[in-house]
Amino acid sequence: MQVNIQEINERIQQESAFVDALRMEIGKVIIGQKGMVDRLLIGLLGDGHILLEGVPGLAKTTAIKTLASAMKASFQRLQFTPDLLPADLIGTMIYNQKNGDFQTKQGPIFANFILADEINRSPAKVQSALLEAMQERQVTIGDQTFILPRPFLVMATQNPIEQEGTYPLPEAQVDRFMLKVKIDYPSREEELLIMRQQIAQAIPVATPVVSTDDIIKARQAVHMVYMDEKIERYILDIVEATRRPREFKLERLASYIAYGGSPRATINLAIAGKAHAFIQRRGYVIPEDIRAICFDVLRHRLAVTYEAEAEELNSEMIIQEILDTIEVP
Amino acid sequence: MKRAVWIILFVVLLPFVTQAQDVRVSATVDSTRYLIGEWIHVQLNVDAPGTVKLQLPSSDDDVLEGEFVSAEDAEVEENDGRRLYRQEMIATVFDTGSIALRVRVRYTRQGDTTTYEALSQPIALAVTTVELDTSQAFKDIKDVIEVPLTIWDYLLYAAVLLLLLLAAWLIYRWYRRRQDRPVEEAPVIVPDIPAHVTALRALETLRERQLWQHGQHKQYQSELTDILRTYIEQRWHLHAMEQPTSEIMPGVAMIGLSPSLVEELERVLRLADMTKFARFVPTSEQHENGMRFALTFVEKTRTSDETLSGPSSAASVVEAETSGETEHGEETEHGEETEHGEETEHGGGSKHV
Repeated sequence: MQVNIQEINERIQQESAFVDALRMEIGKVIIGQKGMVDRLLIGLLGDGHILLEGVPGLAKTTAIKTLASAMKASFQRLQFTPDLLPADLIGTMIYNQKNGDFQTKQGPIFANFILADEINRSPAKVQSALLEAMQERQVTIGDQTFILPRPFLVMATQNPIEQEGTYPLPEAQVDRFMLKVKIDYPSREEELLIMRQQIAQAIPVATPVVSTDDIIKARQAVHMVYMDEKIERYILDIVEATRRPREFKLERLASYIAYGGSPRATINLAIAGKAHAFIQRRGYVIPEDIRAICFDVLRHRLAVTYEAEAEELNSEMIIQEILDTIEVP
Repeated sequence: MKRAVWIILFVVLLPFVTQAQDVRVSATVDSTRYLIGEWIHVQLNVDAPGTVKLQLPSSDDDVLEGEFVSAEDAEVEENDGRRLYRQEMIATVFDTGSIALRVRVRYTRQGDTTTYEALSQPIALAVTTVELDTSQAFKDIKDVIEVPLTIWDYLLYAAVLLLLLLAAWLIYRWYRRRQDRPVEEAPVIVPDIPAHVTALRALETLRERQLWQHGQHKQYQSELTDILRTYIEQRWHLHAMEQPTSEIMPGVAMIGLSPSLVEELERVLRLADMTKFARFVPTSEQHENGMRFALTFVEKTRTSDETLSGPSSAASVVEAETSGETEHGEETEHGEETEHGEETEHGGGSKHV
């Protein structure tokens, strides 16, 4: 198949023109957290969902809210609690006394951007309802099926502390998130700016700079980003090394990995790699793209053994060792 | 009237008849004063009909206000359809004061599954505790009494001693043999082939293979940069083969090479990345420049002959670079050529397929 990289590059340059404007608009409200904003864009462009882990107060809600404002898209925030029911999320059938029939009342899931705050506070049935909607991008209420609006991005948050009384997401369901992003505190300088911004009289608000149609078009362009076979093989090497570390001269890791990345990890690594290249306004993927998003794609898909926990090794350390061992094409 | 007399007689004599069916237990002791815990020898006599099945005392339950210790086998005498059991048993009491000791015997009658019991008459005992003479000083607990050694103990000690002597002799023999062994000659350490030699040979081979001349641009650029990355890895122990260009460059910049050399290296690596991952086809000039730069880079950063077998260091590189300062002009020229090459990369000199 003939691939005209120059044409692709030109198309990507054209389609990704909004990225800088969007970043700038978000940057007006969100100071720092560049990594999180980029991951949000990658999730959005890669048609995936994001699991965010960070202590409270790191602008998770503000980020997705700002993204929604900058895109003129609908936004809903769902606070997950132990007494939440699937119907509270997806909607239910309500009896209309006037007409004498049942009417569908759509739930808050019918929005472009969903912030599922503290997803692990709700029991499995509610988590399943959300994750099913994320996967199928449609919801069935009664005997009617409703297609969710496009683009549809779920950003679920988990608090790494206060694990008491929570319902940790099962591995199979965590796998449905394209990225798991860990957010850290802002730098000292960034925090100074945040403080100044928040105590100022006029807090900046993002204005729409891109439409949802532009995002849908950009998604098509992301799929056009060229990925060479060498990069494809590099992705396979990384994912396979999480499954069979011995074959990649990583004997040390064999006893630390309970199970490695699924084929979904391979697919998402490729898509996220393309999306990363796209937001860098490049028409082709380079190893740097894969390495940049590798941690976010793999950290929740790689389970470590008790032995690793005893050695105080986490999945990120294992991924780092894999990246340090596998030859870059 | 006659009938009434018979009834009165039956009523009056009935208790005597049942008495004959009953079990009589008597117990005697040889003293009435005992110390606490002292054994009390009880002589137990049980008179029971021959049809009764007896359970003589065998547990603490059978001694009231005392504890059962042991009992000998009972002697049995039969007389007129009755049996007389004589048994010597030992009981003890752990309470002090006046104790009314009684012995219990259980039995079952023929054709009846109910267990009956018969008690001896109470035996009044005065149980006293041991009186302590508090006027005397308290004495220590006695030492453990030493058991005299037997012949088997002496044999065991002798065996252990022999084993120890044997072990000592074996260690001594091993040590002597080790001492007597001729000193092995130290293995001849063949110095590794220096990184620059390997790199220069590989570059020469790559040039001879004429890959790009035959349209294998991607293969040529891959191999060219692999040679450079392997050289960087071996020369400065940077993990260049496991890093992409953007990660290699900061490491190389830290070595202390001249900025122009670092810049040119990045340009070559980036061009190769474009060729490898973006189907970019470099011009013949860019290919040649890449090869020329690789040779210059290796030559300029090679270790000096004196330090071939020693560890590589940034100092030797600086030294090598200082010695090559006269080639500065050539380097600049080379740089310009490459710059030109990059111009063509973005311009019309090269093409994407």
